[in-house]
Amino acid sequence: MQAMIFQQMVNEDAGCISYLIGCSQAGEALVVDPGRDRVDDYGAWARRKGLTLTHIIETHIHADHLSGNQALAAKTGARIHIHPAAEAAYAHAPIVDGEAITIGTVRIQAMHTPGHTPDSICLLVTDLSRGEEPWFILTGDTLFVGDVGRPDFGGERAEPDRPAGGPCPPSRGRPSASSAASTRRSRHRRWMSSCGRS
Amino acid sequence: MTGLPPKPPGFDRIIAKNRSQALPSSGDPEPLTVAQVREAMAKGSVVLDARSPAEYGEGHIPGAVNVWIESNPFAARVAMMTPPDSRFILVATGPSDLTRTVQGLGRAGMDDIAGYLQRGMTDWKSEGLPEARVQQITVHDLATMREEHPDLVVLDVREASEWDDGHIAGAINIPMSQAVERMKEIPADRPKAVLCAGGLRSSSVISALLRSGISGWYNVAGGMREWSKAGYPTVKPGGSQGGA
Repeated sequence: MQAMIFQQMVNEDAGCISYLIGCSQAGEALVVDPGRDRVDDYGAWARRKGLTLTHIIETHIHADHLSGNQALAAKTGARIHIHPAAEAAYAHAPIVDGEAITIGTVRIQAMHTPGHTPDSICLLVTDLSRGEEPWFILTGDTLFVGDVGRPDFGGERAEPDRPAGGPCPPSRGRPSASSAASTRRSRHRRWMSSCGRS
Repeated sequence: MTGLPPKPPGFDRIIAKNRSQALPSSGDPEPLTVAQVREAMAKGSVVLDARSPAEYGEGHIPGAVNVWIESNPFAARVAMMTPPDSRFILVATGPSDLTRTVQGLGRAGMDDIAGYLQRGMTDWKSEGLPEARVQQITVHDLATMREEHPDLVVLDVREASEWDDGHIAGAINIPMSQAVERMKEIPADRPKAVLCAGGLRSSSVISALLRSGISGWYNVAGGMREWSKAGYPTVKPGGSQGGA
C-alpha cells in the first residue's frame, strides 16, 4: 500500500508552486510555501484526502507575494517552520540545517542554502517505506530552470556585512551535490518569475 | 549576478509583511455605482482597469491605469504604475477576472480596494460620462506611419536587455519601470507610438502617462514580436542590422 502522498499545487496567476506532502497511514500532511490566495485550496485538498495539516514549511521569506502561512495556521492549527535567518516576528518553530520533520513514512529534512535569501532552505524528501535514500529535493527559489534565484531580495537587513553593490558571498549549501545522484529536483517556479532573471 | 531586471517596487514591503504578523485579507470587493466611483476618485482612489489593452483602448474611465489581468507579473506591474498605498477602484471583464484581480493585488499586499464598477463600462456609458480612448495600431500601421509622419516618436518601453537584442531604428528606450519618472524626456507635443514585446506593458505605460496629463498616444498591438514576425527591420546597438 502506498502511504506517501505528494501533490504539486500550481498557482498560474502567481507563477508560484506550493507542495503538499503527507502520509495516508498517519493521516497527516504538511504544506510547503502556502500562498495567501490559495489557503482555502489546501484545506479542501486535505479534507478530500482525509488528512490533517500539521506543519507548514516556508523555504524562505518571499519578496513577490504574501505567504498564507499564518492564515493557514489559524485555520488548521498547523505549526509554521521557517529558518531563523528569516527573523519572522510571528509564532513559529525555527527549522535549521539538518533538522527533519517526519510524518508517518515521510521524512522532510532541511538544508540551509543561503543565496537567493539568507534564510533559504531546500527540503530533502525521503519516502522511508522505500528506503533511507532521499527521493527528491524541493529547492524553493534557490534554483531556477537553467538559472538561480536572484540574490538581491533578502530585504534591507539581509546582508549587513556586505557593502552595497559588493559581491555576493558564495552559497554554503550545494543541494545537488550533497544529495544522492538519483535525487530528483523539484522547483517552485514556472514561467516568468520576478524572483529570477527572466 | 548580472542582467537582473529592476527590482519591482513594493518588494521590500512584501518582505516586511512576510516577516510580521499577518493582517486579515480583504473580503469580497463592494460593487460601486457610477456616483460612488466618482466620489472615490475625487478622494484620490485610483481606477485600475484590468481589462485587455484592446478593451481599455476602446473606452475607459479617464485617469484609469491599465494592467491586464493576464500580464505576468500582474501585481508588480500595478505597483510600478500606481502610487504606493493606493486605494483602488476596479474595472474588470466579468466576475472571474474581478476575483483574480482582487487575489492578484492581495497576493502582493495591495489590500486597499474601494470596490469595483458594477457592470463595468456599461454603467459608465449609460450615465453619459466621457470615456477616454487609446488608438491601437498594428505593426503595419506603425511602418506606414513612420514613413508618412516623420515627427512620430517611437517609444520602446522594454528593458535594456530586450532593447539590446534588437529594436526599431530611431526609437527611444525608456523601460516601463522608469516611464513615469522620466516622462520629461518624452516629447509631449508630438504623436507617440509605444511598443514593448507584446503590447501589454506599452498599454500600461500609456495609461500612466495619460494620467499624468500627456496625450497623443498609439499602442502598438503585438509589439516587437509582431514587428519582427512581419519581417520589418531591427537594429542592434553598435549598428548591426537584424530582421528583414
